[in-house]
Amino acid sequence: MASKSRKRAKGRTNHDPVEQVKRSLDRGDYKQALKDARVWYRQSPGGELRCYLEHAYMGRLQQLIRNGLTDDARRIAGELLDLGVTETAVESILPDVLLAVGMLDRLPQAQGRLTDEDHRRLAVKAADQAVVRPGNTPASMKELRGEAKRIRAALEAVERGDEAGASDQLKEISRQSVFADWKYFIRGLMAYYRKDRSEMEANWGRLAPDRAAASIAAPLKIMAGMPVPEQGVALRAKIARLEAQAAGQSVLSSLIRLRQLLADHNWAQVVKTFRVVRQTLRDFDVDLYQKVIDCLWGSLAREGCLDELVRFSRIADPPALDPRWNRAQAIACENSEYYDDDPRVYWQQYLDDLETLPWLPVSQRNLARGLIWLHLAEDDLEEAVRFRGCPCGRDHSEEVELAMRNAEFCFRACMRAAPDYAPGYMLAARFYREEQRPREAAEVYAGLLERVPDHLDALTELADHHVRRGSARQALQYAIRARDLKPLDKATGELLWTSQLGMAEELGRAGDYDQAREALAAADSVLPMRAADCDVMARKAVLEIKANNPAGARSLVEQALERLEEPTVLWLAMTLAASRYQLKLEEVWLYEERWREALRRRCRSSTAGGMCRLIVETPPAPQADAELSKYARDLWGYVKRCSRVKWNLEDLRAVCEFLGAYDQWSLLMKFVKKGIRRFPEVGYFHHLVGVEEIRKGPLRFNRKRTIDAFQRAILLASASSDPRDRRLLEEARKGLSVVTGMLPGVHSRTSRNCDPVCHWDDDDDDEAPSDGVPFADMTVEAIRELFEQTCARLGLDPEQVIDELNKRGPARTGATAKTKGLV
Amino acid sequence: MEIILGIDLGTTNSVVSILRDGQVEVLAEDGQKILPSVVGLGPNKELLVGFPAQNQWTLAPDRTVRSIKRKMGSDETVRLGEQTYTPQEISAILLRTLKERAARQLGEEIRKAVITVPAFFNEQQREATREAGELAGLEVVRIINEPTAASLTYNPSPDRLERLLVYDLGGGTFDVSIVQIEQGVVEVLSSHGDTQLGGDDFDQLLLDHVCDRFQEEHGVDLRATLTSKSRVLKAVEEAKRQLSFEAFVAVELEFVAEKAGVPLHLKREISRPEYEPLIEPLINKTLVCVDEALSDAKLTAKQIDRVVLVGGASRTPLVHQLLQEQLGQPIHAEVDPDLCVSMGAAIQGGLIVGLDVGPVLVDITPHTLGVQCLGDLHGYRSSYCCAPVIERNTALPASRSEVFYTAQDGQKAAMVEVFQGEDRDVRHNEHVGGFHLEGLAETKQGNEILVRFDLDLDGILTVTATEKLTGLEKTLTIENAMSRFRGEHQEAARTRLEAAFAGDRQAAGPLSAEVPSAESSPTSEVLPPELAGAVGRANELMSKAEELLPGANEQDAGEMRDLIGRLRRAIETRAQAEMESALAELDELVFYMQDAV
Amino acid sequence: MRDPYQVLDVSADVDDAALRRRYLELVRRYPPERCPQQFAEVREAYEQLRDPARRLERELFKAGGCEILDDVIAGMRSKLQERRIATETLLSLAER
Repeated sequence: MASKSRKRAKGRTNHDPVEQVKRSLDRGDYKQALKDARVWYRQSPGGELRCYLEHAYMGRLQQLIRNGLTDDARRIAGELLDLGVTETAVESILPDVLLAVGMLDRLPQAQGRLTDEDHRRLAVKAADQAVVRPGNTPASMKELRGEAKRIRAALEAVERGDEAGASDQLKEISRQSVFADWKYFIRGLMAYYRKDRSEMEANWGRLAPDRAAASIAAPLKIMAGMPVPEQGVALRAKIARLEAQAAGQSVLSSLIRLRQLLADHNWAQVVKTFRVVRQTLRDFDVDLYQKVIDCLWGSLAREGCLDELVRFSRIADPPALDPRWNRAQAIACENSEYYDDDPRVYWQQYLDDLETLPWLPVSQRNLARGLIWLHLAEDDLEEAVRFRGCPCGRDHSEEVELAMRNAEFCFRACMRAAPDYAPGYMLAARFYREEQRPREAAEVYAGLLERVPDHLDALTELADHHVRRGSARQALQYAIRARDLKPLDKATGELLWTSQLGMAEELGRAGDYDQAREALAAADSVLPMRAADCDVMARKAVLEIKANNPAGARSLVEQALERLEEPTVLWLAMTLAASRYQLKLEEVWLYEERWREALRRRCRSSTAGGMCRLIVETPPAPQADAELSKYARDLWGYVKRCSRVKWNLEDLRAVCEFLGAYDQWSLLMKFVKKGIRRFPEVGYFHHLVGVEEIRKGPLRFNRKRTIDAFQRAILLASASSDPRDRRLLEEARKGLSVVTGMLPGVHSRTSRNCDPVCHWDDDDDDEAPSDGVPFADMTVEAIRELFEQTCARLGLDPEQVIDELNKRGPARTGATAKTKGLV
Repeated sequence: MEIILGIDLGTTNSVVSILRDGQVEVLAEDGQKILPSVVGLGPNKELLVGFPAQNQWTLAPDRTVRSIKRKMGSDETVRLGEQTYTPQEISAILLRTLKERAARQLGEEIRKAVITVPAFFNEQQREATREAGELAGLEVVRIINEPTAASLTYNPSPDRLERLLVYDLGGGTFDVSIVQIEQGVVEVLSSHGDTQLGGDDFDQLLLDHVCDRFQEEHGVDLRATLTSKSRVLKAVEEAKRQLSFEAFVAVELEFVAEKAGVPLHLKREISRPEYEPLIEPLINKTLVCVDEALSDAKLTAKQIDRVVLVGGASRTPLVHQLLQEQLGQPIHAEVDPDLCVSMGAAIQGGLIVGLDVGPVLVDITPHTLGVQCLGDLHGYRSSYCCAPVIERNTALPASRSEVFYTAQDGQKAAMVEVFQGEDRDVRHNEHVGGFHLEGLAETKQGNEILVRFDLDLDGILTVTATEKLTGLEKTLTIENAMSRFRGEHQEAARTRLEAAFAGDRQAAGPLSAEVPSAESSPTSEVLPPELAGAVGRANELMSKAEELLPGANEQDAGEMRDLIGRLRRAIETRAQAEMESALAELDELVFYMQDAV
Repeated sequence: MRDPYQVLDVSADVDDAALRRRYLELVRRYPPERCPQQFAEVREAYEQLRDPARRLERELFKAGGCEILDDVIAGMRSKLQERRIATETLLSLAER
């Protein structure tokens, strides 16, 4: 062997042996370099060659270690140690190399040049190695081996799930020990298995970053979803290794990749990647595979990527609810930006799919079809709204009508498909009501009641409908059922009461007096506190007149008069009742005459209040509407005269309600002022001040006054025990919100540099840009100021401009529309 | 088995119960099961609680506090002699009296309690109650709702679904809950109420009625002087109680006032027909709540199997009559309206320690919790929208999340402000806390932020906001009243309370702010707050370290002894820097030595 | 959020009465007092399923998104985290 080498070496004799070794070293061919250097050195030891020999030894040694040939490395290391190390550069790395081959015990004692720092570093490394590769720790280093053994035992105990055992092992590791780092690691590891994040962080946060434990902890941290500063290729490989050991394959890595592609909206790549991993996913867990499919089709459909969805559907198993992918495509079309993609085609096909979907129970199948129809109906309604609000100026009435017809068709189909689904009926009824088709709405409610007899809303709506139409008998039947369901509800009680009164009228007109009397008695039992009301007494009296029982009538009238300061209210009530019961016209006129006569008297609180209550609260009989407004006019005249009346609270309230109902705001405000002066503790009047201010519109109203008024109303109403004040409270709060709602900075919690989070409504999505009108962020004051400045610049009188605008603009239908238009 | 007190801390009366050998026992003293919720200072400045305080009230209304529950959760304070007290402190005096009663009866001190509150109490009011418990030296293991507690004492049929309507009209608060009991599970379906409505208001109305008549007759307003007012109030209270059983009662008070040197007597007969119209509006108000509770539970009156009446004021015949009329079914009063709440609390205490004494309870939160955001408010775009996260009548504990979005491009921070209440405008709701999530990623508007609410059984709310894009996260735990009150303030309150009770025992000790602290530390010097804090932490840590010493290995033990020595020396020499550094090292060592499990 | 059917351990075609029975059984097993976490999960799952129409509506129109994948990933992480790693594998990660 030696001769062979020599031969080869001789082949290059013309070269300087030193040069030759050096060149091998430079090339990194340590094996050759060592061979040559050894031979040459044996021939002529000393000098320059010795230096290269040491370097060659070290290079080869490191190479062998890197390649894991530990035994060879040990042999070479032994040779080097026998030779002795003189080169400083070699000497400095010798300890680490010896450590790596487990020969640290043979480190020459003469190595006095090692600093404390080096010693410490070496000790740490030795400790880590003693744990990671115990075979490489020389038997002579007993203490090191002992502690390392504890650490390994603790690790194995954790692997077995024996945490107490692990803790026992760790108890002996003191904090000064080089193994303390491992104690932190193992405690963190226990926390990792326990999923105790804070404990995990506390322990692993204390690991020295350059030690072995930290590099084990890094991939585990990622597995646990904790943030890790840098994630190199090596780390990813480690994770894959961990995953493979735990799960047999690296599914998680593929999922993370898919997630990333989704986040990047790289749809084409999403589909491609799915094709690659689908088999692995399905083999791993069918349930998980289905979930991934749900996620992917959902994402594609949500983004409206119809083409990718179609491609995806060819390689994925369909969801159980959607065997032919029709639903997914329909949803994709709905979200697509291309007008050509019509979801209806797919929904129709999906409706067919649903009919045959075998595993869905029939009831569910029907309900599902009903829900789809409802979905389509809502779509039509939206379409109609779009056409109605279209700014292009062309006439869209045909399109609107078509959309409405389609919507109606869908609503009907929904009720047919899912006859037990109450919301379907309710939405259909609302549709008809908004279309001013009360008869159809009533039919829908009746249909619902056939299926769900105790549907309270349907019952009250139907009762109300029949009250309006004057068919008291039907109204009563529904009102009784509603009342049974909700005996505590005031509104239901009033509905029943109204129905009973109407029933009495109907019976009275038909000449069935006994039953009419019974109906009135029944009304009394529903609302006993109303039994002695003028209105009710008048009805009773008129019934007796009609029944040809003048004595009875007279006694009733007397009873009623007893409770009154003066008869005025009763005459009005009698007039109204007489026309309802269709007494002879002369008789009606008789009472009307009496009433007008009485109206001329001095004004009284109780009379004004009583009459206003009658006009406002009396349920309007359909045929009496015209008369009612006639009487209202006379009443208005009376109320106007009431300037020096000592008001009773309830009467004044009734007067205000009357004036509000008939939109007489300027007169109303006079009474409101009186109310505030005389009853400062009543929220109602303050509230009206606020309402009136808001009516003036954003350019005219006095903001401070409005806010004050509402705040006072809120304060008073919340302290009151009057049930009406509950409603008032809501209204006043709403008013206050509206007035102050768009004013950034009013509220101490709003800071300018920190915007509030915006709650995004799906429906709002499309409209968001339209909110960018310049006024949107301005306070009402700022708008007014801007307006006044502009007027001044143009030389206009702001007041005149407003008047002009008011004349031209849409009628003053209330503050809401106006404020909204501007802001 | 561990005993937990069940305490009904009422507006007018308080009661304490325990669970012993599977039986609920109301703890009585001197034959009295109830403790009037009245606290006063006697003529010699001694503390009076319960009946003695109630008795002296007409004589010394200025030294007596009643109905403190109605002020719980507010910043209002009350005067008692020369000292002012927070509502928590007055409640703590009551709680401590009950706690001592239990100690006398059981021969051992009980430190844990379940305290009841009206279902409609909000976060602040609940926290104030919890704090009162802490001040009284009680660990409040749970705050539960009064109607719920009452329903726990109800013995349901084992095999049938039963629905109860619990109508709880107490001295100062009103609650109604709809409860469903099925197969050993008690579920509260809905709660409604009014924390400012109760029997006290009946008294007030009757007082006004009597005084108005008296004024008409004699031209003297009996409400003008505190003593005559409290005498009349006491008389009408008694009259109110009697009117529950009799059709007429006489209110008679001699020498109640004086006019031009002539003494005036009050003598009036009040009949039920005269009294009932006065209180009917208030009862109607409760009926509205009943109706709302039914609506929330999606039930009709017909579906209620039983009506359970709780609270002294529910004895009023008009309440029975109106409820019976409105619900269309007979009213039952088999549970004792005064005691059942406390008994239910004791049962709940048993459930907490793990006794199989009753049904599993599923309670709800009666108020909605939401986040302020930008959105549509009554047809306007507003930044004061309240977006509900946990809706009212959600079962506890509950966790709900809602996704919000940033409103502007490049928005760096988002504010998360939490409100409690049903209004769509946050400004009409109760602000309970909030924070800014800062350092958001630089993106367009619509950056998703996940806001998560965790509401635990005690109604403590944890809010977490996470930016989805980066995982940036911030958490806030809201214990409102506590954080406001904790710290030195609470210490001071506790000292004052100690002093009050010390005075009570000595029966003559003055109650004043400058109570000499008999057991103050040997070094009576006052430490600056920072140093005091460090010393406190050091002591705590050293005791922890000493616990660890026996099990430690030699080296660690040595190091620990050294550090403790260093720390002790530093404390003696008041060397703060040295103290802090030794503290940090010891802290680290203690962490190292503790067992992770 | 976990699949409500899985949480309650009922099949997709469970009827109302059986669902209610199962819910009550689980509430008794996990009272809110002692197992708040499990209770909250059970309750939430029940709320999702108790109204069959809402349940179906959700399933019909809900196009799931990334959150499903996030859940799956979190679930896998959590499952992986539970598996004990062999000490040798663990130590082999020490190499850089």
